[in-house]
Amino acid sequence: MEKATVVVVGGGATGVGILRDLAMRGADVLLIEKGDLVNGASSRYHGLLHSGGRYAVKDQEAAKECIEENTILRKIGHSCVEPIGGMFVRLKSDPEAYEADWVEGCRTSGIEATPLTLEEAFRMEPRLSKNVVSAYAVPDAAIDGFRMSCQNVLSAAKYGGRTKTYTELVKIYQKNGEVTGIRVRNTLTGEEYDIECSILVNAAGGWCEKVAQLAGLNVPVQPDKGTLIAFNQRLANHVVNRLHKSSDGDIFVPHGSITILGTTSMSIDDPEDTSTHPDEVEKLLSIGAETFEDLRSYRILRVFAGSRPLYKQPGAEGRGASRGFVILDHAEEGLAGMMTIVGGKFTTYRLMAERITDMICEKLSIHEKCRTAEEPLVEEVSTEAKARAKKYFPSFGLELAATRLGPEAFDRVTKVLAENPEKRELICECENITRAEFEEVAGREECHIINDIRRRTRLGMGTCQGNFCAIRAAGAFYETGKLEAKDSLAQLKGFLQGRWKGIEPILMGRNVRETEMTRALYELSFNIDGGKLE
Amino acid sequence: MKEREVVVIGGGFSGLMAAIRSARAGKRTALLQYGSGAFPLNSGLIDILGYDREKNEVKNPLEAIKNLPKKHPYHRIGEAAVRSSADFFLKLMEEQGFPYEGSVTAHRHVATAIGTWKPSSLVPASMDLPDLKGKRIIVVDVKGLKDFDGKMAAANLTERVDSVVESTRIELEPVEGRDITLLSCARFMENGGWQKAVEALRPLDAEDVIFLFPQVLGIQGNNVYRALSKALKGSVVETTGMPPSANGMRLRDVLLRAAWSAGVEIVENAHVIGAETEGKTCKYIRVQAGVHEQHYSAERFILATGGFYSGGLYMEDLQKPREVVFDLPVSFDKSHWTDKDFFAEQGFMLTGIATDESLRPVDAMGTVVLDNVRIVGRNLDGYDFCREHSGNGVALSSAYKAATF
Repeated sequence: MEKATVVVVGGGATGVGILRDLAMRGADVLLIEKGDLVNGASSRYHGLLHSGGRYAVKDQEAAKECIEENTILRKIGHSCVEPIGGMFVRLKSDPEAYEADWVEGCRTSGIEATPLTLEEAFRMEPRLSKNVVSAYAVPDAAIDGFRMSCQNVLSAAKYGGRTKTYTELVKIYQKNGEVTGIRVRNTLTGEEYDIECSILVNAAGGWCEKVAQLAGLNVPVQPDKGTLIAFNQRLANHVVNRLHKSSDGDIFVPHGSITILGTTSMSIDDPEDTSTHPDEVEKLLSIGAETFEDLRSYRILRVFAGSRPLYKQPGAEGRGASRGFVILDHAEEGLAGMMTIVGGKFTTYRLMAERITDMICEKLSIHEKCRTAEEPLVEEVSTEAKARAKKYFPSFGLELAATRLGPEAFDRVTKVLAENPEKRELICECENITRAEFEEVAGREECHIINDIRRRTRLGMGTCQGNFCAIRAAGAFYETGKLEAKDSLAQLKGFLQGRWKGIEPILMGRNVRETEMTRALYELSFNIDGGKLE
Repeated sequence: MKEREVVVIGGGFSGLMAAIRSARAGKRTALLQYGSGAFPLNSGLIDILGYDREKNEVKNPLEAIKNLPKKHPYHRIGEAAVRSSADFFLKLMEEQGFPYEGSVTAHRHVATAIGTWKPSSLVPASMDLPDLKGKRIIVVDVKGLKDFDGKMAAANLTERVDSVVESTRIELEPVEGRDITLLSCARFMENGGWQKAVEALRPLDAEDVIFLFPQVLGIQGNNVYRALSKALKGSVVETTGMPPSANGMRLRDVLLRAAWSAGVEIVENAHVIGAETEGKTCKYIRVQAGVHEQHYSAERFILATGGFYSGGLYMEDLQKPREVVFDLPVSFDKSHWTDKDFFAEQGFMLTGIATDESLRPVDAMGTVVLDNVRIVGRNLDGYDFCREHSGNGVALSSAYKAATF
């Protein structure tokens, strides 16, 4: 039977953080995730590395944690963080009294909030509404949640930490009040098997309540859905926050060539519900247009939603509920070896992991100290390696590939490109992904479907939203031998359907044109459902 | 003021067909084009009706039109126009030395780039499949070619036919780390590259072989197809492909020449920016040609500006789609604009301009809005051409009918 001392349930930021921390301290740890990594809230959010400014008035403890973790993540996750800085702007319509409280809150939390003259603010962000009456610079940053999580897994693997994606927890075995093992199901093949373990960590985010129920425990979690819009342009060069009491649609985060605006806050029943509605889009647009008045003239790339796993405290819901985190040791309820960690936010994932790992290590009599704040997640690609590779990569593809791949994979891809010019073919033009890089990633054990490759390369996430790269990706994946012919068209459809999910609620402007083209290609010219010839 | 008898707005497939027929009917015709329509996206296949509403392939397209929903444009166009327009098209293509095969009462099947079969009614010679019985099918891939994967196409075809479809990969040009698109490969084939293909395929060549090519057999006419067919013992067949579609470009080229010789006055880069109307008559349309604005009057205007892809229709926000030239009423069901299933019937595809049986635009009450305007092609309402495979069929038959005098 398979064995692990500790099994972590959930491949979100919290889970992978615990995996890495435990592995670095020498524990035998396995992480299971029912989908692909970060398929919950850890990829369905702003991609904002908080400075803490957002919490400076309401929750100074959270604010302090944010600014400390912000500083750490910039250091250890160099290729995941875009250190663009952020701004808080107050509009004429926002209450003036809040500003003084906020400035004071930042001061006591240790967040450097530098006052800007309006002239400076407009120079930094020319599109800002002229209704801005005051502005401050803060150390916000953009962070790639998926990449950060992947790199945690890679780093953990170096220390023996194992990961199984598409593996769902179906049963928890207990004997004499102790966890003895679990039963899991491979969600791709349906195969079920047992894993022996003595500690089970429930880090399933929005699914924590369901996981706890498998052990007969009650962990009330309220999934709180936030909807976000991705624009096809970089509307701002800094993170732009409204300086008022935290509300909907008041943060803009630029990433690469796009900008994310969000979010809404709505209690929902099922954490799987990531649907979005045109009304939510309209709401976000009308609020967002107060900060950037020409907002509606920009093409929306897609809309998406994720749910915050808020730990249910009586009387507090939505924005009133705490963004802080909770660790529950279920030994107190009579089940030794079972723990749950819930709540929190992406920015503080590492700290959350450190706290619970300390507790687990105590149980396991491991005395190693936490080193996740000092050791970088992955090494950076060296300047020399980049210089050697320069001539083989498409124009701006070098830097993108270097940050996506990390040093070892980057060297392997460079070698393939140098030896085989055919592999320089671009599978995805928007994100500059060569066939060599595609094959490197597709060949990894954790890549089962085209969407897994998408999350690891950003394939199909750019301007064309998969229109042109879908067919190439299906072909290239088929060529690797990992995709059977009978599945190739189903996956192609699945990929296009996934892209449609984010476009359907905002089908207007240029998106209608794009969509009419996509359908004309795949449904008409390629007759993707075409059956047998009689 | 430029006075013409017929002014066609839009140089896509339906616009060109309408202009050719008008000119052949003796009308003084101007064709205003801005870009090249949807030709780069157009496979050049004339589908009349591939699938019914339950997505079952229909046996007899002309017959199956009867069962379409009431609002479908074919009911306004009428069976007779569908039939005569197909005859008109087949004859025209024959004359132009770019023959099509097929009929409106049966289906032929072509191979697609991803390895499925697609039913169609009128098919260019280069894409027409011979009888597959006893044949060895070999998909021909080209080294370095983008947007086509011969192995995947062969594997998928194998699952959809009772024999093993093979694939081979030939080298035409040195790859040298650049992307070879279908169009650049087609150009290469046209400039003598086809001979290299013949040499590379010689070892596999036999009378019982069907060579299935990506859409790379030249960009003008069918010389490459004819040369390959002559040099190889096996049959030469092309699949559909990613845009820019070589066959769509060939069709455009042939039709432009036919329009020219029929006496159509073709105005390039003519951006129609609006219309001047009086009561139910369009007096003239306003055209931005470079820095100048020109006015065209006509006895009949044929609107062939296409749908959302081509820019004839535009949806600014989620409120109301707009027809861009005449600001005609657009028939639109806001509650059924989209379906969550990408491949289901989509409301935005059904969105377009309602007309009477003469294809004149009507309002929600069914009253004709403009007497001397006809609507053709994609901006007609009531059909999802992607789902039912009917785009060029509606384009052809509506153009034919609109240019009947």
